[in-house]
Amino acid sequence: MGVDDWIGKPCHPEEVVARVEAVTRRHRRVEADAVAEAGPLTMGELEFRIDRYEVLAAGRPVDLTKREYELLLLLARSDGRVLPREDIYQRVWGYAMARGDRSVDVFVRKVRHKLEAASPDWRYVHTHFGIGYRFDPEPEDASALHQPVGAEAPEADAPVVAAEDGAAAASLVTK
Amino acid sequence: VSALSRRPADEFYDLFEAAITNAERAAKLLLQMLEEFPDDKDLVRQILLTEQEGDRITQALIRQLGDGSRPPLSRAAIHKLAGAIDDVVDYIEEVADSFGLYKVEAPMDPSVALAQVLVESTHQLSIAVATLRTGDSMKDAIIEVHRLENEGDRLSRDAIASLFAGGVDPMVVIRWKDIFEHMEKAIDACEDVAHTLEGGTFDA
Repeated sequence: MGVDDWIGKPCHPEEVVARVEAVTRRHRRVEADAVAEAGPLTMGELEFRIDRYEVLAAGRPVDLTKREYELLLLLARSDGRVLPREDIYQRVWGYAMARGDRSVDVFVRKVRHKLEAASPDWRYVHTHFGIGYRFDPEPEDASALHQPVGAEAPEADAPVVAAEDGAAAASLVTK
Repeated sequence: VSALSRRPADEFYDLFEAAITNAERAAKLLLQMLEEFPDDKDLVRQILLTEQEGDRITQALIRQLGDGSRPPLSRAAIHKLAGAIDDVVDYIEEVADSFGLYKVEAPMDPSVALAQVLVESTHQLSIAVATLRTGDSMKDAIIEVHRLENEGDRLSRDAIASLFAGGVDPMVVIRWKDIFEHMEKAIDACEDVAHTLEGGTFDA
């Protein structure tokens, strides 16, 4: 039991919500710190040194910004589950995602470019059109084997608008 | 021979066509900037160059009036039209500039939709301005600009309303409300050009 914050009456409902969200954000940081003590996490050629906010690819540091690092770590810790864009935004940025905000797509694109340069033989972040992203380290050769002969892979960061094109599109997955 | 066959008014038509083509280019660059953001940082600089080019054309138009050339529109109409087209480019440049000023990380879908409206509005204005020279009807193009302005209003209103859905970062709300409002002003400026064209005194 304990108190993280308090507010006197009368108060504005939006201030109450803002304070609750602030406490939740602080709590998440504490959780993150606790996990940081768990030691390195290795997936594919990537090694997450959580206590140092660092990712190595084949032993060499990947130059990620703090937000790129947090995004990649969140995806990597999701056990291969697809994370919706809105959830990613809420957990990395700490706020609700505004409708049509492309921040998650832009940052996934940046992370992908850096990982492709650092670990060119692996694919890590997969797009689920109309939904979000999934982390699953996959050797480049393996993804080539899954590719039907003559088929072209859809563009990795197709516009979100295109992604909303019906339920069938939701099953499309790219690198 | 072609130089001899040119009327004095042609110099004005050339400059107005150059001005609206420049505005259309600025709108297309803005759309490209939003679609490719943040990969091509040079696009902001290119948009700034269109703003400078717009100023140069406006000054050339005013100089042309001072040269004693007989204008195809009243002097007041020339001033008003040149200023209205210049405003379109100025607002577009302000939108592009605000991305750097506010350190925007990524575009939003409604901003792309608003930029598409701007591209189409400036294109319709190019058609309308070309009729100053040919004497063809500009009615259809003007009607389309008014329709696009209504669509821009709707898109902007919906976009701003969606920012106030619960839990959105207040900094995101502040910067995007401003950007959406500037984009709406650019579209409104296109309608001002249409109004000026409709109300112009054509005496060529």
